[in-house]
Amino acid sequence: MMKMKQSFLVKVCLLSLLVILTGAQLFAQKVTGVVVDDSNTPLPGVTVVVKGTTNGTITDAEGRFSIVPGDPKNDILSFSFVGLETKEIKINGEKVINVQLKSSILEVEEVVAIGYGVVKKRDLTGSVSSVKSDDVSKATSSNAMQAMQARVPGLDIQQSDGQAGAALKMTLRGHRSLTDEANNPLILVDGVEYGSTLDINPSDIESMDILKDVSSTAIYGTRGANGVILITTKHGKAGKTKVSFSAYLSSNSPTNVPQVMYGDKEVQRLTDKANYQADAVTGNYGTSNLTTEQVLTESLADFTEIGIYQDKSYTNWLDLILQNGLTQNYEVSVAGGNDKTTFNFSLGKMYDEGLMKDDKMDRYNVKVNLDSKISNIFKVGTNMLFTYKNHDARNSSVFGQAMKMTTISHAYTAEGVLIPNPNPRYAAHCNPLLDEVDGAYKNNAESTRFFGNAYMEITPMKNLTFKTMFALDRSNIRTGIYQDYQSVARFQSPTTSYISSEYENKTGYTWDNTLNYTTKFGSTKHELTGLLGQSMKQDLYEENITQGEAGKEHYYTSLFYDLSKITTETSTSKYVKSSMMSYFGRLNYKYDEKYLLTASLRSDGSSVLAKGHKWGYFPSTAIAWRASEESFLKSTSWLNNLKARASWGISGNAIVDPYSTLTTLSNSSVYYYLGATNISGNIPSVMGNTDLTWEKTASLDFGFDFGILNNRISGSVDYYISHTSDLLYRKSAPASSVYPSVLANIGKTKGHGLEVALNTLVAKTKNFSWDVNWTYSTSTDEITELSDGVTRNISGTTGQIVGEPVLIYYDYESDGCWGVGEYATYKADWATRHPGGTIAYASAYGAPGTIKIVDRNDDGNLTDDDKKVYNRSPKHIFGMNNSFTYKDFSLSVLLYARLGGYIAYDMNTQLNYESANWGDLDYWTPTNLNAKFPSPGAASTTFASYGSALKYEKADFFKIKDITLAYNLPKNLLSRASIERLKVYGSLKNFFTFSGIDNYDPERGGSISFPLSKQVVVGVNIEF
Amino acid sequence: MKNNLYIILAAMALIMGTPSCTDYLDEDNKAGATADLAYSTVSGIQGLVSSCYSFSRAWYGKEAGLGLSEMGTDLFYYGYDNKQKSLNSYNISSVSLDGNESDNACLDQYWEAFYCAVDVCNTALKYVPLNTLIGEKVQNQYMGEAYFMRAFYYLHMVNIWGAIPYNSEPPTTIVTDPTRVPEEVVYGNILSDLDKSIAAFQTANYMIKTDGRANYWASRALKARTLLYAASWLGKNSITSNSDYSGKDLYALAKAEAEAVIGSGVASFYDNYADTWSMNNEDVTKNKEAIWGVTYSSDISTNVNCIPYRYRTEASGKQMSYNGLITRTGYTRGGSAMLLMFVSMWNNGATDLGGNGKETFVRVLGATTSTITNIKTGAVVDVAATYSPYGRGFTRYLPSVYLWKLLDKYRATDQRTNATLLEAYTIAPGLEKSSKLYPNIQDTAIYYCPLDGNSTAGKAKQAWAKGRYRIQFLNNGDIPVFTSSDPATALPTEAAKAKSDVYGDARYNSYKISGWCSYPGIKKFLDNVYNSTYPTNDISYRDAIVMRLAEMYLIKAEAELGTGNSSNALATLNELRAKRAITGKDNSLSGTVDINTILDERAIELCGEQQRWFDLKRTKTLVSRVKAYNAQGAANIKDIHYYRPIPQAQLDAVTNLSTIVGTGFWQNAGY
Repeated sequence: MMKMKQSFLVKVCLLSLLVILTGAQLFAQKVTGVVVDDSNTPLPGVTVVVKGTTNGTITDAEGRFSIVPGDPKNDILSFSFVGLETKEIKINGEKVINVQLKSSILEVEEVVAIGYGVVKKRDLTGSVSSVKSDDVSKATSSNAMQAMQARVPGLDIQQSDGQAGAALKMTLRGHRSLTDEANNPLILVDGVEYGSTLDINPSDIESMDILKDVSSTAIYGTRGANGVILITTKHGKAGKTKVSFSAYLSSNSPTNVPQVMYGDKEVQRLTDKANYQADAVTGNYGTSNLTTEQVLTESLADFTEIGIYQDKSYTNWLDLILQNGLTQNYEVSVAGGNDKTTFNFSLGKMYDEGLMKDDKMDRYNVKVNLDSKISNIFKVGTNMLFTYKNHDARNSSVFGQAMKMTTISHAYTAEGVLIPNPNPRYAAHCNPLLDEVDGAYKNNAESTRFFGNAYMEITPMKNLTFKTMFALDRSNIRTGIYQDYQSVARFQSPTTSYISSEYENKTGYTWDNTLNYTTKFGSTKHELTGLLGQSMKQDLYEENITQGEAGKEHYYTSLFYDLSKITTETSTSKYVKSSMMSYFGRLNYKYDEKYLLTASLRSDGSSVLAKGHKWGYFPSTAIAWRASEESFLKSTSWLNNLKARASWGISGNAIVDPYSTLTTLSNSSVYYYLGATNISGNIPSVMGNTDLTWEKTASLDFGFDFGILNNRISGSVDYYISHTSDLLYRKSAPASSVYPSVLANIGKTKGHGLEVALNTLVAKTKNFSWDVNWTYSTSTDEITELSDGVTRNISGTTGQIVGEPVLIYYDYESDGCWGVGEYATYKADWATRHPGGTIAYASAYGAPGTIKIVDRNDDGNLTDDDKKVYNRSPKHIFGMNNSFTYKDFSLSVLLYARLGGYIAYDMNTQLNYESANWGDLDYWTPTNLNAKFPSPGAASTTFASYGSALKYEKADFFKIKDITLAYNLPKNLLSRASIERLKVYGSLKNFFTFSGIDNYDPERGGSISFPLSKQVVVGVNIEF
Repeated sequence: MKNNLYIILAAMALIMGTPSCTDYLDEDNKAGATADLAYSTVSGIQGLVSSCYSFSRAWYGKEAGLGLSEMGTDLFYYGYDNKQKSLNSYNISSVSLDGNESDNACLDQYWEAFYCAVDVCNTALKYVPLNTLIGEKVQNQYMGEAYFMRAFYYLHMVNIWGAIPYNSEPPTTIVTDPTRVPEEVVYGNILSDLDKSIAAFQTANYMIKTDGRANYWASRALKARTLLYAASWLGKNSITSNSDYSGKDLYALAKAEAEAVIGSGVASFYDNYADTWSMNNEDVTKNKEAIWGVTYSSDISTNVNCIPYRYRTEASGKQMSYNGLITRTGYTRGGSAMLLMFVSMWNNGATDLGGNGKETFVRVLGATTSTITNIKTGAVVDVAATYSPYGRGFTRYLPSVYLWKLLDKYRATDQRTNATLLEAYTIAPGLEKSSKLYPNIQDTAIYYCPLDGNSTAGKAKQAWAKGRYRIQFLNNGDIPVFTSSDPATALPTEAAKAKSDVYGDARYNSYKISGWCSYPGIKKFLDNVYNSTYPTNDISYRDAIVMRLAEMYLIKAEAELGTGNSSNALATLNELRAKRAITGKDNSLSGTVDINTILDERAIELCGEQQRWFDLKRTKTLVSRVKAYNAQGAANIKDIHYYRPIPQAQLDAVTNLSTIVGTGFWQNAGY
């Protein structure tokens, strides 16, 4: 009631003012002055208006203005400029009025991007985390998504290999879909779907907002079930033109490289192996005592094994193949504008080197953002990004080849000539350095991408905005591969050169139309915002591949560029089109700044789904209560903010390949030789599912945000429960009905989890502050149903089991190795336990020094029933980001831990029985009975059947991901050189990792080729 | 305000206007074809019919198909690097090992492959009659081929698994509660298909074997085999569901079919049995003895010999590959792997002969590895032509003591011993005396002697060989191949001697000289003609002969035995043996013929040709013969092994799984 009265009074006052002003026009008197900004720079283009009139002017290039007010005594001059605080000054008879306009940015409340709009953070009803530009710009990876790791609770980001331009794996709030790619969050840049490898200069990114709960994501309907990441790029701000430059150099060196046996250790293994084999003949283990001379009998023309042993001229193949890489990154941007038009141009260049020769990427980015207000009604703008990438990749088998290669060998002859097959024990084992011969191997991808949109905003009346945006995403990728017949891939077989050239075109367009309306009523206590929208999206993919053998010739210079060198050419092509159409609406309602309600509904139609099942409806709703605004809490001085939130909704997922609902023939030809001709045919391959429809996830989210002790401690806590149904998966059908996998909606999963984000300002004095950002999340998921009462669907060591987590390994459990005579005792005991039963282990099973597998059901047979479930998902993810500042110095330390879950560590099966090197593993000998790994002398039979059981390792790790020390040069020093800001910094990235696995970073998820790098970074940021 | 109104109206029109393109969400697959369209063309239907054959390449000429059809029998032991050891030692389970290439019976993938193969035949049977462009004659020929191939695949399946779901049409829905059709019914269907095939070929007058297609005589030959299988496995009057055969003596019918094929002249014998296996005669359309086989193109550098992809897809929808034991070289190049299967570790395991950089044996990889320097004379010797035919030492299979002795028994009179057994490796001409440890080496480098090394004759052989070549005896001696000469207990030796008894040095101190790495091989499938373009010999374009004339004699003899006419059976066997006799020698048999006589003859004639396991199964001698002749499998084999296990992947996916044999979908007993 009070407020209503007040606003009424204001209106009356304004009205009377207006009356007075029109009457006062007669007393003409000029007022002049200069308008400057924060840094006392004159501001051109500032609108100066006599308040309440149409009498106005604009400041000139020097910021000067001149105006004749109607009433020099009582008139009020209003100075306004986009991006700056509007200032009103009563003239009071003054003839000169100089004004300083302050930047309005700092004062504006933090806003958060949500689907098709932004809201003030305080008005948010859903669960959204944000990473701001300062943190994003710390990324020194070719993929800026890296910046989110350890900073967003609930988001699990993993990097599995250290190749230049390597992709990241991302999951938000655990796994709910059964396929890996279906769990990828939707990533939008400036409102348009982009993809997960972000080729954008980190300094061009304004914010990354991660929409987690379904009330936030449901507005994206079928694409929102796995979370949405909104990336907003920087736009220009009116005012002085700002030029910024940033550059860094990063020296990348291999870290946590899995180790193989080197030198004497490998010799010892060969000796142990020979002794075991001699013992096996006599049956008396531990008696044979062969000398090194008796074991190292192999040789090549250039060396003998025993010679290498004697002069210790072993070869460390991993050292030969790995190098230190250097990454250089440069970014320049120019941003500015006036109150009508703002711009942001930027240019970026990155040169990224991996840890192997010829593993490198070059990237150029050009970005233009323009916004222009044509009139009070029309506004237009554009965001355009052009990227060029040139990427050389290495053959992934080379690293494996280097690990397998025996160290008792030489890579080069004494004359320095490369030895093509340096393994005296296995001639077909070629030298991994073959690919480093100039021109012997090339895998080059050259790509260009235009990613841009243009929009028009129409505001026909107050509070109503119509926006139409058209976005075009077009990329061309040419991937050329040349493998010389003397390269690793071709050396052993088929000993011919190979050429492949692939051209891909991707075209996507998005057309969004939205209508926004905001109103306040009931004397502004009620605030209502409505959104109505429609969107169309189409993606087209075309591909042409030409490939084939090129005979036994070197094409070191023409590589894959000359396709006429292909002797037997095959070409294939692809054409894939998918379309989507959507309608959506959202309502935000706020009452009295305390009670918030959001409701949305989206309807999506997709071409990839079956006729009659194409459309899906995705509702959501959320409520929030800003308890701290209540009068009974307002006086609580220690409590600054308290908001409780709850949301519910349904979002969808349609990771379906186009044409999955149509029965089609395989597009790869089948051949058969009849009548001296290879006749090609096409056979059925896909049975279309005419019932295919959306995968749906319904979730509940409860959360609260708080700030206490003058906001020194603030944060939010979220708990969610989600149920996913109609899971899209290749349903395992009986092979007897021909199609063993049919894409179908097959089952259900559920998940729940807790997320905590906490910001604590530990210390703050004049010169020193210490701020800690904490993130923690835990999640659990489970398959609750598979189709038709089927309870499991296993393929190899992975698959699905009802009642178990979504991501599992399903395999035997190993329990060390059999000792001498132990198996006989075991069998006798078993026979006693099972009178009349017969034991049915594999024939070679049980030999001394071979893997012991746990017969979990003790039935004397090793079958699927003896396998164990290994959960692959982490239980806890923890991040802690410390920021210390002391005067002009700042130091940040980012800690990251991922606990729980198993990985299948490939190194544990790096047991190449006969002819190659082994991983540095603790193996069984008659004097080392408790070893995990089998004797190198034992037959590989048991290992071949059950070796994968050795793989599973707990994936827990803790790492100090980033330590950055920065120095901001003092302002007074800089202003003389008209530099606004100059920061120099140095970082250590990925230097310290602690885990239960030696020489390995479990973040990689088990794979061993292409190790990760640790980086030493030095960089500079300058703003003019 | 009016302007504003127009703008709003325009905006509304935009929003409302878009859905008017009603086909916006329709799909049109431009780069993929649909069956109706593709198979109505001449090339499309021709491609479909030829694709019916493609799946046969997954079994014939491939490691896993060989393992399932020939191994775990009385004829072969597994060698050192065998990839199906548990199959051979009967530790086989239903677990679907899918892509595992280290020890995998591959039954899960064959279960899939055969159902896909049948589906392609069913698709052909559906679309050939609908194609109006090819004419009636070609239509009949195509129908004959498709019926033949469907019968061919089902014959394999029913022999492997027994009662199986039987698809007679392309599926329209997924059947999750399949029915296991009794074996007798499946056999009845196979015979019915073959009769339709024979009739169709007759109408088309398609009775030739010039282009590798099935034809009238191929169908009759397969019918002879099918009748014999049914008679021996199910009983001579076992077929009841197919009225054409109900109550008839299947042996008599088998005999008639075999005689008809023999009399047709579609195939004839070579005077020299080895010519049947010469790479020069590998083409089944030209090989005189061949009736029908699986073809491989001589183009082994492209994918034209590859088998089809699986119908099973990855989660991404990408079609999956069959594993390497079935594809051999994946999907970029294909061919037969038979040349690799029976070869011992001849080049890697010969450090006693050369080594220390002074090799006598190398695998020919190309120009750089086709010469060896003679350590005595310094001459550079071109070895490619000599060594290329040995291929690569894959050490997958070695002949059992039973087979070695059986072939040895007729060495003096029968051509087949020498044409089958690879008992000696020779070194390339020009390398004489070029071995430090065997200073008197001439042409022979390694000799596998079927004697007891401790016998007088053996000792004499050893004395002669000393310093000349490496000699390995069947058993005993310095480096025996087997632990014993008793076929029931003999196992390949797995380790060699730290110190040689004969030489007193450590030349044999390598597992590579033990019996399961170093043994007499089987010659039949070697690429015995050096090809400089593909010297690596990791794949071959040798066609796989599936049916040849000799088998018709063996079918006839067994059918005669089955109808109680043992003396006719002996005469038929001797007719065949006469063709195989060394000129001027008498290799004929005498006495009473029983099933063992037939099986011995089949072993001599057909060993390695992917029939043995089925022969032992259907004659119900599998268990007794493995116990008597294969110590690697003897311990575990039992009656349950007459059927292979239904793959776990199938069991996991059905909704009518039952534990009672004969109801719902049951697993074969004992698995």
